[in-house]
Amino acid sequence: MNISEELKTRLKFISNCNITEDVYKKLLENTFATLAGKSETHSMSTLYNSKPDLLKQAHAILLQAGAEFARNNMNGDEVKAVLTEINFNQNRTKLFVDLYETNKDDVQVQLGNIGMHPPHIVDADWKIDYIVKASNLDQSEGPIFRISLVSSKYDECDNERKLERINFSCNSQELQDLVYKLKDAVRHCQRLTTE
Amino acid sequence: MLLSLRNDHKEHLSLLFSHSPQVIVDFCKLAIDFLQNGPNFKLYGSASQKLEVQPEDVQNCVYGLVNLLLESCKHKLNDVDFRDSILTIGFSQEQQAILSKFYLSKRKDVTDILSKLSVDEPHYHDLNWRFEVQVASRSLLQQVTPLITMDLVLTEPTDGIETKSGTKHVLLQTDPCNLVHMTETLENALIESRSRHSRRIQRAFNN
Amino acid sequence: MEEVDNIIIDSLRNLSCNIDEDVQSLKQFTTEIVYSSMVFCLQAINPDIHFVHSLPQSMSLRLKNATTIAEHIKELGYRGDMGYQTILYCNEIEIRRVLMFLVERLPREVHKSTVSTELGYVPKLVKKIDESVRLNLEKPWVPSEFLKFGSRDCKKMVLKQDFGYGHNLQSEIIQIPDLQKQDCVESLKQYWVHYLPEVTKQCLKQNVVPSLLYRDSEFTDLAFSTKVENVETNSLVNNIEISNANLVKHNGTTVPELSIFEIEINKIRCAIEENKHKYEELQISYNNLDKQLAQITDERHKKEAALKESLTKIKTRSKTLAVLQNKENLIKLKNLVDNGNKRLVELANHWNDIQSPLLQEYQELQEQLKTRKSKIRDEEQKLQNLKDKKISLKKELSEKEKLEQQLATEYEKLNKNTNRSAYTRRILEIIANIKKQSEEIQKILIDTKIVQKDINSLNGQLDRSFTLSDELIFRDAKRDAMARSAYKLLATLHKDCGEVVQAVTTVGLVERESRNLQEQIDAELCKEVTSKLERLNNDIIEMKRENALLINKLTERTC
Repeated sequence: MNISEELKTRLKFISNCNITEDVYKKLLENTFATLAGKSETHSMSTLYNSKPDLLKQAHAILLQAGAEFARNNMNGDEVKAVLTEINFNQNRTKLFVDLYETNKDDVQVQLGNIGMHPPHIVDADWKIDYIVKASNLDQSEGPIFRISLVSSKYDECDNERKLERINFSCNSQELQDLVYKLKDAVRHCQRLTTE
Repeated sequence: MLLSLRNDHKEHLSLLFSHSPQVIVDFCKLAIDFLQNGPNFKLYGSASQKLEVQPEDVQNCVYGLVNLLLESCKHKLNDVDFRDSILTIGFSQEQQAILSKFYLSKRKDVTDILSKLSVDEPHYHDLNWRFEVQVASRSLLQQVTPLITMDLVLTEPTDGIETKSGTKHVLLQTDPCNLVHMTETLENALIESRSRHSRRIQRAFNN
Repeated sequence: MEEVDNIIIDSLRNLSCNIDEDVQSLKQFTTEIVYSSMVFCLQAINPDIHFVHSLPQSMSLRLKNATTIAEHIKELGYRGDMGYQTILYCNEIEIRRVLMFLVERLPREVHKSTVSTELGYVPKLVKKIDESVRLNLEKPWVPSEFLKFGSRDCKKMVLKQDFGYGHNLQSEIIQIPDLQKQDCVESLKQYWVHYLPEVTKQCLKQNVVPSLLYRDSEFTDLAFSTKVENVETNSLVNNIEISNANLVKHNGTTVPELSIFEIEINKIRCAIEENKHKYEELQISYNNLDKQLAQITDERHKKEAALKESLTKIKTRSKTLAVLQNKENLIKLKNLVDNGNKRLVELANHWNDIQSPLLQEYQELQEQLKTRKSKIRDEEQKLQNLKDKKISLKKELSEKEKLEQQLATEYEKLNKNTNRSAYTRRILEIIANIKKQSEEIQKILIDTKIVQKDINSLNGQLDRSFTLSDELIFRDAKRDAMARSAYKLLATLHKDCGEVVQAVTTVGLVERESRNLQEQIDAELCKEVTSKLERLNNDIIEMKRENALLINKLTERTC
């Protein structure tokens, strides 16, 4: 397990700190809601009571711990081992592990979304055109395919997912070439699973 | 189909009516030179001196010939139609033979260029792909994400008559599921284009 | 046939098909059993097929189900005659053939379980890749709008099918209160309590996790970063100046018809350059002079200080000289010095007396402390070792448990297939039987051959003796009337005997034929055509009744 000593000492702080179990539970629920990309279930200010600084620190540490565990793809037992090692009491450990296990997939989805990727093709549209008449040509040979590949990409400026269309045209032979190449790729994938 | 020319166009060509076949051949050469290298005023000047006419007339006549060629190609005249059109404009049989030869020799090149001009959006050129599996990233150390990364090469039209179009590389990726979907969709397009319905439409346009 | 039946029934029971214990051969199979066993087999071969396990009551439903089952079996590649009648009006031989075919197609589960025992990063990874690609290919396409954060939950694993939510990894500086720190100022604490926002609100929503996990944006040496910037900008400015100069030069040479103004401007520029140059030189010399000045003043300060020092020294010296000039004073001083020296020695001795035991004690204690510390360290080391061991043991334990589970499931699977040895034993028995039978057949064949030979030799002997006696009697018959009648009798005897032999052979032929016919009759009897016809008749009547009922209902509805 590659949990750094730094994080362990931070977690020790939570194991010792003086907050009620109820507040701890709510804090944990908020933590995993944030990590899984949902909105927080409890308002933080209601949890503060007289110790906002303590809670702020605890929240940050729990967020960090949850993210780090999911990043290392640890299972419930491994998390439990780490927490008991730094003296979490049973109740708190159980709460943490239960929430971790239910949310692990969602958290990992969020973690997997961090990173650079080229636009991801999610759909394709096409139409077939025949040139009936053009400004400089009376008629053309064969159909023209207008292809539009729908790709989705994260917009760093607007901070949201956006669909982007890649438009191009081709004639019959070129489309045949394209389809042939794509089929080659598909066949490669299929062969992977059969061998 | 007969070609109908504008009056000023006819006027510009009328310069040639009275000249010998050799002159017509020279003018055809001038027109070909124009197609390949653009206008050459010095040549027009010397020609005008020989024929004892204004240089502008010679220039207009060459432009007229080129325009005649373009119009004929645009409407895809066959040789009979072209011959009839030329004769109706006022050329003699002998002159018509030379012009027909000129038309037939240049028809294919010009049609090609014209059809390329009509493409006004990126055009498919090539596609390269590779299959990869992402097994780890900085924020998720253990994962298995199969991906197909593709380099789609498109040719983009540039302005002007010169057909040196630039290529553009578009980097894309997708997963196997979407890849299958995309392939099927595009293949459907191909199949559809060969269906009876599409063939009938195409035949209807060609007639 | 018994062996085959046993194998079939065994494998059917393995499929948890309810066959009574007393059913021993396919002869005892009812339509119900045949139907359910076929359904179980089909489901084992192709889990996507869904059927009711028992025959439905309604006749038309029965027919329908039976036809679809027959179609499925045909799809699997069954060559023989197959239709609803095979299932509903079964005969033993056909059923045996179909069930044999199905049992052969049953999937074997042994292969899968052997693969899963491989453990290790790469094989696991390869397996996972295989699985995810297969899932990706098998799952139907779904528009990306329906995916939650671009991924699709497929129970076994989550498939990523859209990276539209994949933002760049970017970390920001965030502040976390640190109450563990000892030396924090009260005002900082106040800031933490009242003003510091939540970590989730300190930066963009998608940057929270990276900022917590990584500290990319924090520079330890702030000065370093600014310095780098300065150097860069400086070099940039220099570059621009150089390129400007180049540009000016370029202009001057390439364009000959430069206007007067431009020439003047150039002149002015040159003058400016010169002035700049001069200015720089002056600056340098000024700097040098400045440095010299600083040095000189420095020296002056040093010399002044030295002067002061020597002045004070001179003062004290002159004072002591004045005191020493008096002799009494000198003696007093000497005494004083002597006394002081003596006392010093005494004190030193005294100090030594006190110090040495203390020192010893101190050293002893120090040593004790050291040994104790090293002991503690050893203990700590041991504890750490134990902890590590515990963790590794735990890990091992969980792995072993997993393996145990896996093996247990595998074992269960294997348990079902214990009839393998039974199969082989049976097969061996069958082979032995066949061997015995073939030996017997061989024996019989040899016997018949010997008999045939005997018959042939006897025939020859008969022929020869007949011709011999024929000749002898014929020779005698010319002279003797008795012999003549004997000859006639011989001829008739020969003829009659021939007839008898022929009759015997024809009887044999007829017997064979009649045996064949009997077999055919038996086979026909086996098919129980009459009872089947009866059942068929009954079913037809049943169906008619159902149809009539339905029609009645329909007419009622329409009314």
